[in-house]
Amino acid sequence: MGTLEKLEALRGGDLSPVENLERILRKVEEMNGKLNAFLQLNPRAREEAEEVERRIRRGEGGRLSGLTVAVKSNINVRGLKATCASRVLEDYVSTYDAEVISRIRREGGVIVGMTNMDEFACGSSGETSAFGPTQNPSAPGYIPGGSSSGSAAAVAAGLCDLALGTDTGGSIRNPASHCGVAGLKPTYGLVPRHGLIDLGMSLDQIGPLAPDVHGLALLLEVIAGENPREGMMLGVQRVSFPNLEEGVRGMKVGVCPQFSSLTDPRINGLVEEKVEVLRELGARVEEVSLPHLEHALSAYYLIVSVEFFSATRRYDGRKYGKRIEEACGEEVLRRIAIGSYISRKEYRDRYYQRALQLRTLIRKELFSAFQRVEVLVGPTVPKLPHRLGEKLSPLEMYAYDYLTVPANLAGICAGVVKAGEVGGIPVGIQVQGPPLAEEKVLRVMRALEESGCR
Amino acid sequence: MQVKIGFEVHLQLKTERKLYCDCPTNYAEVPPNTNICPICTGMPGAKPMKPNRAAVEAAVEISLMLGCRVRTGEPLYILRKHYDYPDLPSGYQRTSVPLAVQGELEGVRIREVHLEEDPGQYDPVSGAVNFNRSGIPLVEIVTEPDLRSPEEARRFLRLLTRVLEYTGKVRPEAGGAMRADVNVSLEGGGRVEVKNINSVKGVYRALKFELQRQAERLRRGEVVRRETRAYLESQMVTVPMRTKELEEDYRYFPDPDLPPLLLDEGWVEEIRGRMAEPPHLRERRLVERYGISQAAARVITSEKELADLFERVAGEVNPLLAADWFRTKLKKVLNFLGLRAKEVSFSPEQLVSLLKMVESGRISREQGELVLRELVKKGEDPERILARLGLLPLEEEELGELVRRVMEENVKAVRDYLEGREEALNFLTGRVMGASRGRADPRVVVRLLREKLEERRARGTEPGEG
Amino acid sequence: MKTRGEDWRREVERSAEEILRALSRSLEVLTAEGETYQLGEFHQPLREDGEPSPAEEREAFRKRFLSLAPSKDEEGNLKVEAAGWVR
Repeated sequence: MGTLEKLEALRGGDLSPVENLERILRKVEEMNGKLNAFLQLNPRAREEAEEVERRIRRGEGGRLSGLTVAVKSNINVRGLKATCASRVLEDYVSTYDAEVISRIRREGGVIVGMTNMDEFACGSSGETSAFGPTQNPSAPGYIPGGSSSGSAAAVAAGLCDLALGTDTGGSIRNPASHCGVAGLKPTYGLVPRHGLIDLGMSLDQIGPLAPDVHGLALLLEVIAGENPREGMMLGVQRVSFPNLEEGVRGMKVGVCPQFSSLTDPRINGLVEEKVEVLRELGARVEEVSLPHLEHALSAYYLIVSVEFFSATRRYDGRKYGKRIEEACGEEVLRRIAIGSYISRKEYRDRYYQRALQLRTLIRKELFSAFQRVEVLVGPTVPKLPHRLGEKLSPLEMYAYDYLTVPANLAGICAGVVKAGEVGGIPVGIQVQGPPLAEEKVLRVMRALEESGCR
Repeated sequence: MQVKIGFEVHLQLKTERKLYCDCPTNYAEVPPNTNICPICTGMPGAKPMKPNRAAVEAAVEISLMLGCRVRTGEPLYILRKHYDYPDLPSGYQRTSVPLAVQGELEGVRIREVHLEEDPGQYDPVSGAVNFNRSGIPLVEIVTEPDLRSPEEARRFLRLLTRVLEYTGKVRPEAGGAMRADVNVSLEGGGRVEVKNINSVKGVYRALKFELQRQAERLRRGEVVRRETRAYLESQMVTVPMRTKELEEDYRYFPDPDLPPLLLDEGWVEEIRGRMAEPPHLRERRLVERYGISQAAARVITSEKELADLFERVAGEVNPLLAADWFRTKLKKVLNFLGLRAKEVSFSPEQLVSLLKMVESGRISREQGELVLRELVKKGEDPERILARLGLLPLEEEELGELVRRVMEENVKAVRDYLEGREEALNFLTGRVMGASRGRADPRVVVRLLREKLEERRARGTEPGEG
Repeated sequence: MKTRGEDWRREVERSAEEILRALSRSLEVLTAEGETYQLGEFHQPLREDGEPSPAEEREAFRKRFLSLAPSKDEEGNLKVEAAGWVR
């Protein structure tokens, strides 16, 4: 059942939220032991589903009306543990609800539980969780991607209707691609970050993962919008996407040689097929150049390290949890070390400052491209996911992010939808648009999704 | 030897809510960790709210009071200043870049003013940490090293706190609301910073100790190292600080969770228009305009409302008289009753009325003071107070009676006067004044006495007759 | 649980240095651009001062806060290490 169908069934009374939840929980029980998508289930989920049922009867089910939502473990849900998949916060029970959670509850969403992730979101594979890796339900034996590994896997395996992930350098889009589900990184400043445990404050966004584009749109409509209680919001009151079926006729779609030059030809092949589909649907495809694209990776890792270093100074073990340097994993410690080093007075100019300048350059290039085209289409990851347990060097791991970090550096929106498979492994196609162009991006994604179903 | 002393002074601003969250600010009045929320305790995922407007406004007003140029129309970032200490829940302090620069207070240059948040309270002996104070808005004022002695420094700090308290926007000094870092150097030696002194007295003592310590070292031919020291209040000495704390690289960068401030010029001008004239400038103006003494002006400008009252009154009675009364009597009564000038219940008109009575001689100074005391306790028409206290001046008829009686009782003095001895008049005047118990105007008494005495002369009767 | 000895730390730091070297090659790109710390134009209205947060809300948070605290005293203070230099 697609998201919209299920929503209809819930709203119409054909499916009760409690029944929906119980089917989901049965699946979780069956599969999570192996999959390790969830770290903790919500003990109050049934109560919440019952309450939503009552509300639906009153005609107040909300936009979600009992759809189940899985939440990544770096988002505060009061009463549940926001561990960030780390020993540092393994006992941290959230003391408040993130704003997005309040909104989900208000709209009748039922929270299934907290999903697995790379530790403190520092990863692109789903292997660095302190509580064991997550499996890829769509490609058994392969990594699910990261850092929103559990959320993507839960959606792919049907262990929830919708999921929240977070994306700092590709952490929604990467696992969406590897697991064959839909995911979206919203424009920076569209969705509140209140309650999101920071990785890189100028890069992070909370975003939806779903089995289909309509599901993405629905969850985004619920979580997006101005939050007066925080500082970096764009002032957009709300979003809505009534016209996703409108198609792409006449739309100017950009492709970029720098994307494909970095990417495995098999992935490129699939992407080209999909671009051809867009042409057939009436889009005008044009080539644009992003000359400094390959340098975005460096700029990203230097900036995120400094911001993460700052973000982790509060984990001193005095108020809650443990002191981070004493309980974290390798990648987390590495980023703290890099961030600490390059933000020092004597090294700042050479590293951090230059990275920030490079960021400006990359942002300008992207915005310049968007003067000529309305969306950019291309691969999500430059290479196919590796097998779980295969040892990669840190740089090899970072290389997954080449094509996703530019969107975070520039603050633009970017979504991923399944394009096809290579040897049974899902491959996602990425659609990027300028700030607040979610409508166009989702429309293109919907057209691609629909074409895949024929 | 050339002495250079400068300050970084931190003062808490008086607001209802903290700077980046809505927690209350009455941190000393509630149990530990009561005025807290996820933001001011550094919980995972917490994000600051937008800065408190009243705090920004207060910082602007203080900057204007200190003659600074406010940096309008340019983005003013709020930085993260990182260091590790138990009272700093997020591991960094949010501190703005300077909001205003290049001011001056009585010859001491003000380098900059900026806005930051207070950390919590940490007791290093017991290890107790209380975040009630965490996040309270602070203004930091940095001076150039323009002071030349501990006495000058003390005088300056007193003036500074006086000026700032005058705005009503800072918490008064009691209770550790002012903290100062002092830097001091002697010619030939390095600059020493003494951190975190909580009182003006402490600053004075720390400076005296430091200057002596530095001078001795230089005399012995030793180097005065550039260093940071701590002031130990109980022993009144400074000691070197732990080296670990000195190696701090704060790694400043703009807080990614807060957009920069943008101070609108129009808004700043509006604040300037609304704000109280700085006390030290008002003092000068009162001396110039009304010709009163500086000592009196100093007392009068100790409170804004007292000065307002004075100017209201000085328009209608002799300013010198008013000034004298404000300085010696009104202030005394207020202090005695523990009242602030803004709390008095009498109207300016009532005070004017009283002073006019004194000015005209209708009542004596002593009587006036009695009336004043009543007036301060409860606002009332001074005439009514006089009546109530039985201090109304005697009517001329009553006075005439009194004069007659005194003349009858003092036959010898009357005879002396009639025989040409003027001093007998003084004697008789004194007698009448005594008998009237201060309710007579001496000039009227003299006039009446003279009249009656001359009448007697004219009648040519013997004293005691008729 | 990995051993967290000095060796491990040093190894991690060494790998960090290596990575930094590799990433820094990109920084040789010449550009005259200024730094981007923040994205977009976020207007900064200030927040009005006024009635503080309700006491019930803070009481509820205080309970959770104290239940998370590794160490506390009866008055509700956190307890942390006493300062090394205090003697």
